[in-house]
Formats: sequence, C-alpha cells, structure tokens
Amino acid sequence: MDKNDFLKRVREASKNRKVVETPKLDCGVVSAMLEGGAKDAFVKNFTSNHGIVVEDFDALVRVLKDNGCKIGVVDAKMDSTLGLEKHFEITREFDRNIPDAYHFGVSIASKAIGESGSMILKDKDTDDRLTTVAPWVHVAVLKESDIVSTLSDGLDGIIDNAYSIFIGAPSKTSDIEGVLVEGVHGPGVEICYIVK
Amino acid sequence: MALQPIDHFCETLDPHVKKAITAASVGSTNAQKAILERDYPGDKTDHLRSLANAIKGGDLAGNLEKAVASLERNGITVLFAKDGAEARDIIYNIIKEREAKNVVKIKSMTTEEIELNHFLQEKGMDVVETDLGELIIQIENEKPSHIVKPAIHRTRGDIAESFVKHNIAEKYDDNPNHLTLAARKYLREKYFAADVVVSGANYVLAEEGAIVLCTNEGNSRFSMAGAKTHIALVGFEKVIPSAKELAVFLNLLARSATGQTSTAYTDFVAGPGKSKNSPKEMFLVFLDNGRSDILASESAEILKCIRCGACMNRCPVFRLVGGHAYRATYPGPLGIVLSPLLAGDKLATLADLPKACSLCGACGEVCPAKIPLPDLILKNRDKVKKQHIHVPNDINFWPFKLLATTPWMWKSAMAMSKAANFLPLSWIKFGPAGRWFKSRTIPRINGGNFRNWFKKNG
Repeated sequence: MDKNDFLKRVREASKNRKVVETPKLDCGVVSAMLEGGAKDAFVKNFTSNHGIVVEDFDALVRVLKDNGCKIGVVDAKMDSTLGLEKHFEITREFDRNIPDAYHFGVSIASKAIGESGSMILKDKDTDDRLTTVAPWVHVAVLKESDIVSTLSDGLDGIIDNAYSIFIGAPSKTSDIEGVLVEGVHGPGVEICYIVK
Repeated sequence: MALQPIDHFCETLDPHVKKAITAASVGSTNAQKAILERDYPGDKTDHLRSLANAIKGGDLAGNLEKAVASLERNGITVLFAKDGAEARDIIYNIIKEREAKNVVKIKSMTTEEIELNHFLQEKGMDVVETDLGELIIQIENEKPSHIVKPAIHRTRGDIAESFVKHNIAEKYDDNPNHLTLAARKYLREKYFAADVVVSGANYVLAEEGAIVLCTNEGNSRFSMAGAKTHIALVGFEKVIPSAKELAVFLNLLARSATGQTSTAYTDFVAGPGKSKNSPKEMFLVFLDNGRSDILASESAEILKCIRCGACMNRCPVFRLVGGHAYRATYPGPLGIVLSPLLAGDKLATLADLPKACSLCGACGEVCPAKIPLPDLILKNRDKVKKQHIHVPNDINFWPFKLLATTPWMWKSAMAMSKAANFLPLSWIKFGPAGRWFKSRTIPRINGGNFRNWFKKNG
C-alpha cells in the first residue's frame, strides 16, 4: 500500500477521536525497587534475577573457574584483556564457525540501571554481538560511575546508536510446565564485573 | 445435544491440561498482583495504569507519521500493508529478492495473525520459531493457546515425544532442563544458518525511530546476531511518542505478564547493525489489517493493548477452556474483543465469543493499560445482536427477562430461591438447562433475607 494512502487512512480513522495530551511523567514511574541508591539497587535487583555481581578481579577469575571456563573471547572494543590471559586461553575474535568453542565472552556494559537491575550494552561499544550471546558465560565490564538510578535515566539517549539492549538476567524460559530453566539460547550465567 | 463451540472445548479439554492452564493462569495473576503491590504501593499502580492509558490515547496518527520519518532517517526501509495478504507478499518478496531460504522468527503475535509461517513454508522456505514455546507448537502445527505462554497446553511428556519425532532430541527425556538444552543445541544451528530474521515489535518509538523487543529468552539478540536481513512486522498501534514514555510500559509489561520486574532482555533496534555479526539491512512493515476500522469505531480502546496476557490469566472462562477455544490468534478477553473486530465480514464465525464471558469485570481490573474490556465485550455482544447474527445453540433469555421485569414474579422467585439448593440440577439432561449444567454448577444460594432486614431496619 502506498505510504501516503496508509497514513491518510489512519489520519481519517483518528478524525473523531478525542486525543489525550501526553501526560507529564512524574514519580509514578519510579518503583520501590530503587531503595538504597543506584548501585545498591542495581546489585540487589540484578542478583535477585540470578545475575552475578563481582567487584574484584580475583572474584571474577574464581567465578569463571567455578563455571568450568577455560577458553574465552574478549570483545575487540575492550581496551585490554584485563589480565584474563594469565588464567585462561583468550582470543579477541569470535569465530562463528566454532561458536561452542568459547566458554565465556567478555564485553563492555555502557551503563546499568538501578531501578530495573539491567545492564545496557550498545553496539557502539561492542565489536561483535556474538561474543555476548553465544558463550554459556557472559561477563559485562561496567564502570561504577555508569550506574544510573531510574529506568527513565537509562532510557535517556538509548537510541544514540543502531542497537542497544538491556540485559537483566541470564537467558531464561519457563515455557515447559512453568519450570524455570536458564541458558535457553544465550548465557546461562550472566556476570557484571563492576570496576572503579 | 449440540453445544456452543466454546462449551465443546471445555468438555473435551484433557483434565490434566485444564488443571495446568488453571494453575498457570492463577499463578500469573497472583504474581502480577503481588509485584505491583510491592513495587507500586497504594494508588501508585493505578496512577501508572492511568499514565499508560493516557499515553496510548495520544495523537496516534501524528506519532505514526513522525515514526515513519524517524525510521527512514535511521536507514530503515518502511513499507505498508493494508491487510495480511499484502504483508505476506511484501515479506516474501524481500526474502525472495535475496535468494534466501532460511528464516528465523522472533515471537510475534502479529505474524501469527497473518499466518506468515505457513505462507513462507508453502513457498519452500525453512521458517523456524526461536522462542521455545513457539517452537514447541510450531513443530506440531498448532496455534498458540496463550499470547505470552504459547505452549501452556502442552505437558512435558508431549514435548519430549514431539522433540524425538522432529529430531530435536535423540531420545525421550521429559526433564524440562534437558528438553530446553536440546532446543538450545537445535536452534544454534538455525541461528548461524539464518539469512533473514523476522520479528514483531512491542513498541515503536516515534521520536527516535526505533523498535523495542522484550524477551526473556534472548532469542531476539541471537537472531539479530546471526542473520543478515531483519524484517519487522508491526501493527501501527504499537507506536508511542518517545523513549521517555517507554519507562511506563516497561515497568508494567513484565510485571503484568509474568510477575517479573522486567524482561531479561529488552532490545532497541534503530536501523541496520553496525557491529560485526548483525543484520546489515532492516525493513519495517506497518500493518493495518482492520486496525484503522477499529480506530474509527467505538472499540478503539482495544488498540491500547500491550499484549501482556493479564486479562486471560484472570479470566474464569479462559482458565477452564484454554486459548484454542477462542479459535483465533488472540484468546481470552482480549480475543473476545479483538478477534471479532479483526474478522471483518467473517464476524459470524466468532459471534459466540462475546458471550463466552461471565461479565465479572476482572479483566478490566487487571489490565495495565486500563482498557475497559467488559464494556468492549458488551459492545461486541450488541454488534452481534444488531446485525442479527445467529449464534448456534444460544440460550434464549426471554424467561429471565420476564422474571426480572415482573415484580411479583421476581419476589416470589426470591422467596423460593433457597429451594434450588435442594434441587438435583445436575440431573437435568435435556434442553438449554441440560446443556448448561453439563459443564457448570451454580453456587449455593444463601441470600434472600435482605427485604425482611430492610423492612425492619431500613
């Protein structure tokens, strides 16, 4: 159908409809999930959805080893491999011909949101989406100063690149008789590594 | 003796499946109530619902025009379909022009509405649903029975058998963890082989020119990492003004759908991908398919629906009959309103649906967008009546009308009402009452004393 015809049709259909002015968004949008400030709220809400938060390198290495990780891919947009190569076999390129060869992937979290307990990943800070979605364990490295309070704060400027995502938990489903299973497509373990 | 179509589903539904549907629905309703009371205490929930209703009641035509301009500015090719047939052709032609065969789908009720999968499969394409629930029903050639939990009617045993039959699992194993891991392995191959990903959209942001997808499984991100071309099919009512307003809907959607604070993944797609493995071209097809007629009608409020499924979870009829009883893409109270409206000149085939409602009003109370569903259901009843559409085996209510409008008869009936407690109503096997009591009971009558009380105390 022609664009103008389509838009005209919708315009005509709306003709007699009383239009409500878009309301001002006030405190009604902020939930009680924000108690304790942005970082505390993020840690509480992310971990309550089975995300794992670590704040020092040794803890990160320990969690990765506990999950059986030996081979990892560190996204090419990361400045460094964080020293992970001392403990694991590390590559900087995800080879889609061997997607199951990587036990973990490491990438940058552009921001995180306290209220919803979500990390924000953006394409502009990610070289390859597969690094974040294909391995069983995903680590997002987040600067503490990049944690914002509310969902509205997180949505501010969200479309500054072609693709962004909120990640608030491991990939999960309860489609079979309501039983929760994690790791249905993407990571079964989702880790946020908070750095200063 | 013949029954109304929905009664047939109630009678023939496997008791285990009925129990599962009821348990899942009750559980979801309780979870929605608990999380909203916890996170938005007092009148905050109602305030949030009012905001959602008001935002969706804004200048939809104006926002749509703005969205088209913003989407095009972001490099997205925007196309328009007046109905399902045109949408199917548009999508097929995009795929055909790329000589593509392998399509992965991200769960979308709009693509279900236009029966896209069958169409593409008939054209020789390999179309795979990547949402686990959708995959489970797709391989058995079924329709979803719930808009959020499409396989709510399938038991783990059914699924295990089905996975073996369709080579997703090597041997029978009904452990949900093992079944899910088998699907994970099967779908990985599909993601990496995919040429095209087809999605819907939960929202379109007019100002920014982006679509928003909410999933728990993360199949959206994986699909959009594997395929080269992304096609989104979206009803135009999904447009909202901007990302600022989105917070209201994100706060309501997951809480109302599954009792979570948010979905595990929320994707924002504003054009062809820039990272290494991502779709390098993107198409968005806006679908009308009867929506503009609904927008112009007295039932326009239904277009505010955010597809959370709370209304069907709460509906006492849905809990007993399941989603397939509604014989259309959208079940439950949403379906009772929307399906007959979308049916156009096929309204007669769904004319019984508006009567598949006890008018308890619960759906309206739980709707996060504050859609007056009970009123809209009554409007559809009225429409069926005014168009003189015959509903098979409809019960004639003239005796009740006579009773309720004749004071002496009503008073006498009230005085004798408690006698009904001693009548063996389930023994009635004939006529409308026989059909009614075949699958229903009535509560014990305990009232009838109000008039006496009022005479003494009023």
